[in-house]
Amino acid sequence: MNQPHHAEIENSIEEIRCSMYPDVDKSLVMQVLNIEIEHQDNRQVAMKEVLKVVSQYFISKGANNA
Amino acid sequence: MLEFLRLTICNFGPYKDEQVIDFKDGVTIIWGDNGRGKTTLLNAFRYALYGNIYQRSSRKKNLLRTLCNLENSEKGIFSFSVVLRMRFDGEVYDLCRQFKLRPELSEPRSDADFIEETSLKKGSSYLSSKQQDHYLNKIMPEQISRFFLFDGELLSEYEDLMDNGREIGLTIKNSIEKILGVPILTNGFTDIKHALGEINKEYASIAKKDEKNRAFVNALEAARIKLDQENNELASYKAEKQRLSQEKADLEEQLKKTEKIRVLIERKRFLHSTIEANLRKQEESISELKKHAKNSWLYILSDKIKGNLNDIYLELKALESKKSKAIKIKEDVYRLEKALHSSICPTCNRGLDEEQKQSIQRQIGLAQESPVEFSNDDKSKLESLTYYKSRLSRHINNNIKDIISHLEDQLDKNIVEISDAKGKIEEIESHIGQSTNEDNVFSAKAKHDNIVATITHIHKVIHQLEESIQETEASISGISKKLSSMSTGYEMDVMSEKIRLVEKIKDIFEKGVSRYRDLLKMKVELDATMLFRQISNEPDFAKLQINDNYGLSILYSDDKKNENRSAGYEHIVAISLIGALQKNAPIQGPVVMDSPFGRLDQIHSSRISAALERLSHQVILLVYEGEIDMQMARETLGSRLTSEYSLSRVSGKQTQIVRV
Amino acid sequence: MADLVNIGLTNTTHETASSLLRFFDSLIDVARFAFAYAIRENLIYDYDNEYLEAKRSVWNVGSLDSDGFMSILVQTFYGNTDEPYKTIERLINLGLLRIGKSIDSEGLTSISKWL
Repeated sequence: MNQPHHAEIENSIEEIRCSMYPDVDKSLVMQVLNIEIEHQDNRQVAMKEVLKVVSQYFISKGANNA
Repeated sequence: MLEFLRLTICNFGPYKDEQVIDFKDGVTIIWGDNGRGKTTLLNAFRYALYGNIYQRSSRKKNLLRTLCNLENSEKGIFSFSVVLRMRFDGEVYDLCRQFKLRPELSEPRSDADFIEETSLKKGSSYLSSKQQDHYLNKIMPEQISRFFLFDGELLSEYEDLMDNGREIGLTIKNSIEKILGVPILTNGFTDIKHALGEINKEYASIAKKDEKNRAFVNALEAARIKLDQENNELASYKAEKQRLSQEKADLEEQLKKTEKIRVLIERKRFLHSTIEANLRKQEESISELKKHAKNSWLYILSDKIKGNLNDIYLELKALESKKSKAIKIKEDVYRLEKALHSSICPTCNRGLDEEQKQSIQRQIGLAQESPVEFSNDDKSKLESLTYYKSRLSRHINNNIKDIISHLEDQLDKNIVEISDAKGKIEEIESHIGQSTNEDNVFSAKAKHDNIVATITHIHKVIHQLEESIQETEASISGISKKLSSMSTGYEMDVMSEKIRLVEKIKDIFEKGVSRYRDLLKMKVELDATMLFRQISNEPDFAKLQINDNYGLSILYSDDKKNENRSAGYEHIVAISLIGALQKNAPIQGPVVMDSPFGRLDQIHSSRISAALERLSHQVILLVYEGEIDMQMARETLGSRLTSEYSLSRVSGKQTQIVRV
Repeated sequence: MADLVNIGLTNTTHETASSLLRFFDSLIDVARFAFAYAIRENLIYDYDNEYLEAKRSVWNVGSLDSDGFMSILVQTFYGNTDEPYKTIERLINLGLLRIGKSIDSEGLTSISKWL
């Protein structure tokens, strides 16, 4: 979808992350954002995908730490 | 980005058979006089994208038959179609909607006699109906269509943005935030919260394995269950509130349209009660009048009676005098005769001598010579005259004429008032019309008032629930912290870390919403101001100021608000808002404007023409000559005017789209 | 000659009397009104050709003149007579004829003009 035009949304989120929670992984936050952008018309799918992406993040982090 | 490439309409409104308009980037002007089909073209876009048609009154129309071209209907052809070819994110889509008469019928009697067919082709592949909905929602959601398919006659909707209390204003605000992408963040916040909830459940089930944690885990689970219930309840109330808000907005639109009629009906009811009051007064006056009229005959005779009474009085006096005289003489004669007979003076009681006797004799003789007789006739006359006098004098009434005159005047007044009221009622009824159901008009108001009360109640409940949720969340947080401090072990540590991280993400999204909203308002205000200053011819109008609903006020150079802006400036502000939204929206697309210059003078029309490229990469104008000068438009737009069409009259039932 | 026992109206005067019911409770009240009007206007001397002998009996003299006052008035204004009710009938009809003519030319909007 119109990625350039979501730049403002991304920037708003990124500014908060940078200033308040720099330890939070940017890619995870952006993944959540992209899910919401992609599934604006289907809330159920969006909710499931967000949970999935968060869970997978920890699984892959756990695998990396192992 | 969305671009329109071609519109093909067949048998739709005045457009008989198949007719095509091609679009390019830049400005397309479609010229058409009133009644030639400009709004029908706007409706064609709406119909293609959403399957809905709107009347001038902005309510959905039901009568499909009326959309079929009349000339072809007369030949028994009852179908129409619209195909919109567009490019979105580099892909070409062909969206086709059509209504056809059911094959077993020869003529439609209602909308149910039509079958609708919709197809969306992406490139060369047809999409399934589920995919169709998904893509159409992505391309141009209906909720935001009012900012892309703009009817200049519906400007009042933008004025509603200024009124923070009106539901339609809130609805439009939600539409604006949808265009600007705010729900992306609010939904993100909601979904992260949900994910956090799931992680917390997982944490609890792990913590439960340790005996010493059990009490806390149970408390945590109970609190989570309570939180879930509260959230579900909150979601349900919010959904209900939204539903009611939409209903309220619809009713407010209805009430706005029927306001005039309601006022007339109220006036009519007042006039009816005036008539009833006057009829009651009339009844009372007539009753009073009749009461006095009963004795009016005596008033008529009162002068004569008075005259007669005078005569009667004199005659009575004479008779009574005669009677008294007769009685006196009789008494005197009797006394004298007694004295003569007894020879004793009645005065001194001495004996009478001869001379005295002779004197008495002479007196008796004199009395007998001129008697005063009070005869039986005199007696009965005296009696009847006495009776007449008493009867007549009882009935003299001096003021009945004034009373009756006054009552008659009152009656005349009542008649005039009743007649005037009836005349006014007739006039009102001719305005209201025979088909208006008066009860329906007021039932909408009653319904609206009920909904307002319900929404107020729901607000309170939502507020209470939100407070309770906050308490529950704080309680959960407290128990979680305690649990975390008590819990040890690798699994628990990992879970705690997960929770901490997701909470941070939740906070990022929550703060992101406010930040983005503030940023948007600032940018929309700035961009709208720039566009406004390009269009406005008034140097003292310095800028636009945005409110919470994205409504825009005009500020003077001393920062004071222009409180009573004209219809023309309402138009300019609306166009400025559209341009600003287009610039700041994640979704960008063409703007189609029907009668965009309607209320504007030549100067402002010209300035808008010059500013059109700032509205969107693709602008389609539906205008009539006179609304904007054709030559001036061509000169102002120059190379940005990429195509022109004219809606040419073939007959009263047919228009031909002609490339200019 | 015996006096009348029933007082009557002609068709014309009955019509007039009925139209006056807008302002009066009963025909008796109308009759008394017309009677008084005729006396005041000296209509007794009016030999209007329209007045014929009354055709329709409307009231018994006992109900029209229950207290005999109308009879007294006739006696008062016109002298003693053995046939006061004949005079009363004549006066009522003459009064109604005159009132009827006024209604025909000016309409019936009030009674105060005859008071």
